[in-house]
Amino acid sequence: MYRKTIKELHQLLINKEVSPLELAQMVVADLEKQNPQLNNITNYTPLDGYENIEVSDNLLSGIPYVMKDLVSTKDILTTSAAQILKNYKPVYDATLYNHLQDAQCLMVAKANLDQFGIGGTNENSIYGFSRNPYNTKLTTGGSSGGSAGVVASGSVPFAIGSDTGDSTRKPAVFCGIYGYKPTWSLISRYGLFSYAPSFDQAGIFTRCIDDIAIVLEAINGPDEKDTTTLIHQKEYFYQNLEENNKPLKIGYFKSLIELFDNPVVLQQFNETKEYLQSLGHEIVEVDFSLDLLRCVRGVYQLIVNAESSSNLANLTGVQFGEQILGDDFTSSFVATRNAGLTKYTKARNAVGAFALKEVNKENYFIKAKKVRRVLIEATNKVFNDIDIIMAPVANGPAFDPNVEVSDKHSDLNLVVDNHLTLANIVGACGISIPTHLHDDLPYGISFMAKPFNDQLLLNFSKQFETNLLEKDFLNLRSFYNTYKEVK
Amino acid sequence: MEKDEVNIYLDQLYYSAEGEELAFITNFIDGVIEDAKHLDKVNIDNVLPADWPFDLEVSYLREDEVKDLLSCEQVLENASQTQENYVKYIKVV
Repeated sequence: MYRKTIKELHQLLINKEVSPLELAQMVVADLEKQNPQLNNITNYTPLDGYENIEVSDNLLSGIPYVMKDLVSTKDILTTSAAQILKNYKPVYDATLYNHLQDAQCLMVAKANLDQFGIGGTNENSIYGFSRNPYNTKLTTGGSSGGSAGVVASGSVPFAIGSDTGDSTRKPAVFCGIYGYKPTWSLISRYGLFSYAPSFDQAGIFTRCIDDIAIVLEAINGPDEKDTTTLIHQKEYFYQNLEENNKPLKIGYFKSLIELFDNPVVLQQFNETKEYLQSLGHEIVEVDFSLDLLRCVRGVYQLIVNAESSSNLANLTGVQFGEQILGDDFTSSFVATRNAGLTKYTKARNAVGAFALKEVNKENYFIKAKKVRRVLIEATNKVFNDIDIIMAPVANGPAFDPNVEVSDKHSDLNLVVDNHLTLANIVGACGISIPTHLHDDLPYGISFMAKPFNDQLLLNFSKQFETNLLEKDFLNLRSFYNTYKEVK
Repeated sequence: MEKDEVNIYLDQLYYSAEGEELAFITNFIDGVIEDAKHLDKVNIDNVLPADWPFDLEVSYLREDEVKDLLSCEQVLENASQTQENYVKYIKVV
């Protein structure tokens, strides 16, 4: 069952070569074997009732998957990797979980993460950081690190993550798999622990494009419990998935690419451009203000942390969560929150309190929201002429989270490390795809299309993937077909 | 930023910190303030704040019907202390 796609597993289930329960048990056994080294799982889901699952024409029926541990699942432990929720069992289901339940899909475990999605290395977790299957000294990236790790290690065909800054797309490529961030509002956020609602979106990890389309088709659609989803109809991404056969205009920001300084990444980027040209696409250099790109991290930090400081205010231990009592009301609240959340989460919330303070609000929070609009309009202007924007995912592969970052305000850290967040600022859809293996570590490319152009992005990605494998461009077939065993 | 000011924000959030943790949080806020200086270079005259990535024209009104109702037991099952169908907590006033 190792490393099979949804369609391959479905065929085995249809042929009754394995039952859904047996498949789920095999996956759990595999995860349990790998987890001491990889640390991708926070807890396992009871498999009660899986013996009654009937395999149907629905490709997802009987398929096992792993859920990021911040999606509400009724009566099933959901910790968000935070001490305060260590024993929390939600009393309701997230809509996206209900969609997967309706498809008879089998959740088998919850995945490690930076608590509440706050972080990019998966270190902000009470369980410790998720380890990269390619090199267990390195992180998977975050915040959806565990979700990336379990798909990369071959245990499940897909996992659900979330993407508030780049939390699906970056860990995906660090782990040599696909990461998809749908257009904001395409998937209901009801039951996704709220971190920064104007940025949050569920994400999907897979090892092929078909599987992204299958899962996205199942979980998208309007939901009256999340009114931001009511602006569109349900979409049928898998039914409408076909290899793009039209020449597209693919742009890259000159100001961004000039900042990358890793010759390996730049060489790979040039090879990917040549590959795209060989498919008939036009590659265009786009002028995009570097001053605007330098605002991406500031806009993100000010708005996201303001929203987060408000959303996490309900973590008091009164109605739910671990409670510590002091001498009075205030000391009880403080003791509970101090013990229940990490210093990094506290720091992020403190930024929010700073930005929302009356004397700072106009100059920080409101200004950030105005610059957000400028970024949205500038990006939409690019999309008037360009179908897809491309860039390397990062300036290097997965890294050791214990190594201190130097000069956090250099353009390399400020702009290059944060450029994927532009998709969250503008609500666009984005995908990251592994393209190269160098020194035994995966590297990849990101593509972004304008909001609600998810089908175009998937069809383009399908073309990209198919030709990549058929032509064995960059000798990647061996990379895709012989995934690394856990070291 | 002075640590006293950071403590004001932590107080508002019902947190406290001292020593290395307070230094970490102070340093983190300073970093964001440094990042925010780049925002000053953007012309935002006559620009409206963006609350969402794109305009939401939701004109939908949900029917006012009771559904998905949680029982009292369900609501209270994650509470540390309960008494007679209420959450029990330390006296506030």
